[in-house]
Amino acid sequence: MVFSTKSARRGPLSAELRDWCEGEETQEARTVVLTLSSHTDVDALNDRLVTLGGAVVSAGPGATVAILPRPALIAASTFPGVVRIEAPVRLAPKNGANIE
Amino acid sequence: MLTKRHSVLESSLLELARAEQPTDLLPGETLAHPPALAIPGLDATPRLKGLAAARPEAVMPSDKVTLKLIAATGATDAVVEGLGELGCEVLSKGPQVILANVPPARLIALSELPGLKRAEQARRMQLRLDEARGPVTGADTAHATHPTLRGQGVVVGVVDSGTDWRHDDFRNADGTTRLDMFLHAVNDPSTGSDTFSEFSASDLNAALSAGSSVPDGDPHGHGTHCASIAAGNGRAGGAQFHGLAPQATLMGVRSDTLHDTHIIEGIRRIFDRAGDRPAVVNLSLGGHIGPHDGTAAIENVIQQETGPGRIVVVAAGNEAEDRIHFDGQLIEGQNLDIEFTIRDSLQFLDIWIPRGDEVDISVIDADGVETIPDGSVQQTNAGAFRADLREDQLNRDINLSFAVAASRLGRRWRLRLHAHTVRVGTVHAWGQTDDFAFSRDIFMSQTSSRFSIGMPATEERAISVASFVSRAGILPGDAALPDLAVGQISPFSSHGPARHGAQRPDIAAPGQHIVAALAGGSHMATDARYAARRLPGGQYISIQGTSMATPFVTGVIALMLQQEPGLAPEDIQLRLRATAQRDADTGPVWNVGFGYGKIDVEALLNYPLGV
Repeated sequence: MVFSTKSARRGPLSAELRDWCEGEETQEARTVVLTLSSHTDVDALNDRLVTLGGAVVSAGPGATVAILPRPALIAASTFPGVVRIEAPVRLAPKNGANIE
Repeated sequence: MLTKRHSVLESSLLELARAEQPTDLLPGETLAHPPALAIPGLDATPRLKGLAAARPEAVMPSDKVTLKLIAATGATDAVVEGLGELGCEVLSKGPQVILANVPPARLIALSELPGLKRAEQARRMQLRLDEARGPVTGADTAHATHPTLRGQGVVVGVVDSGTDWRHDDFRNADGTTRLDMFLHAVNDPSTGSDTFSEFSASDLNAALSAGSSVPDGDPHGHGTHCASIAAGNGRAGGAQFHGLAPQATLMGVRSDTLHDTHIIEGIRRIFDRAGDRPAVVNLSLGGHIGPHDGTAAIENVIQQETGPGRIVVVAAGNEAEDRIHFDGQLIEGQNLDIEFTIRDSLQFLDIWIPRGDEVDISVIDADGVETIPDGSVQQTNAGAFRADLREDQLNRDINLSFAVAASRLGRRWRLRLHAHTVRVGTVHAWGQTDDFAFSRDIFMSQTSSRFSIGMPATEERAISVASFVSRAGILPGDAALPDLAVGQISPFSSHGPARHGAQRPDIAAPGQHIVAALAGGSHMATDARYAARRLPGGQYISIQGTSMATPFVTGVIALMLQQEPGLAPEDIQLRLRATAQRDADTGPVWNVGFGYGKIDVEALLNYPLGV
């Protein structure tokens, strides 16, 4: 058995969300960030997400933030132009060197 | 015995020490004419006044004197322990600065404390122009020669820990708010979902006058400091500590958790609420899990949402010395080991392998046990880990995502990459711990300050900002910290370039040390570790970071947008490049630390309009 770049999986889902999608509770939802390519039809994507029971938190070019139940998240991963789907990450304030 | 090596004591303390031990002099030393104690800002307590006026033998010191003690890097705990053994009372401590009450009889003994670099008396602050606006940037000169440029008509947005909307520096002369909008972003940890509560200027004015409910502006204090550098009006300090664009319209976004989702919506909300007005958004924040090539989600938003009159300014980061980046070269048929140290109970590595390179990967834990990952969570005696390989759909590189929950800290693990086919070969990895405080010294080899710039500063349409030293002492009037000189790059300031080679950062600005507004009741206002950095009166504080350099540039861009509201990011970058100060510190061309050089505010505001 090898773990090789040749067999790297494709698709936009991060490892964390891929695992989460395998859960059984279909109504359970979580906040995700969808990175969009420049040719994505943002309005059509948002409509699709809402139709699937999701809620769009922040929409615009470049990325959409949405709260999606599992089926909606799986469907979003195949929407044209959705290139990454990731859990929110925390950023760090850039002060404090040698303070804390 | 007083010897010449008692150099940790400033002169006034040396006199006090001599007063305690009048017979303990070196040949040739005398107490008859002690150095004048007209040290700027010297604390004029009655005892020290007496010391200044009286002959030394007449001095009757009190039982203790409060000192600022500056320790060498990593020596704080040893100094604190030594102080205890000397019978000193430690009032507060941070990694570099300790406040302590020291019996005068023990002053000489301070010189023997290993790791203690300097001892200074408490000083009364002289409010004066912060050095950042002085000759190092030409900002004061530019203000004087462009008296109508104060940011009028321009929106300055700060997406951060918040903005203390009660602080006088963010209020008009009549006491009303200068904030046009205050957005409170909250992440519910139980559901992971975000909520955004928006408050208008009317809401804030009602809260200021009648105490109606608007959330506190900034429980941490970081965002308030940034907003003040960019656009504070200095009302709380007699205008001495005003920002670069003191008449700009402010918008503040408070996020206690700094989730990227909050930042994304914050940027959009500010640009939307700005309407027809030009707007510049300050992001003094960043992270290291992601591609470092301008394609992270937040970077994609910056790339798409910026344009004429819509600018985002981003901190390069403070990780130049932190060993959070690894790079190595794949060679066909050979192994490339990425060795790293466990610094937190949960730790992440984000590795990027160029498209077309074929590599097999294994994990070697701290016990030397080699495991072939399978994409799931796997367990060894040394801990649990998960490795995931994904071909990125945006940049087509291979992303190896690795998370580890090790059983013991401080041990070394390795990721082994065995190369079969190499077309490009350069592998980059960034490490980050679950608790940001432990994100340092992760990689043991093949690490340097290069590529330590964070995201979203790697986005080419963001104006990315490094930090240089504008005052080598922490507070106005302080002596320089050891090994720190005005004009040099701040040792912590993250270096470029971006992973794809883009020249980041753009420019360097003053970020060490900067006095600006202190949020009332905030962490910075109450935590003892900041005590030595707060100015009397509780309205201002001196801190450092590319976080502080960034709003300096944000404020300057607000002035540029007042001159030319339609400037796009590329226009501003061109002007920064054309006008940057280049000297012995920066060298003649772009470099990974300074970018194109040090910001020159006067040259920027004198740049021919419309060019």
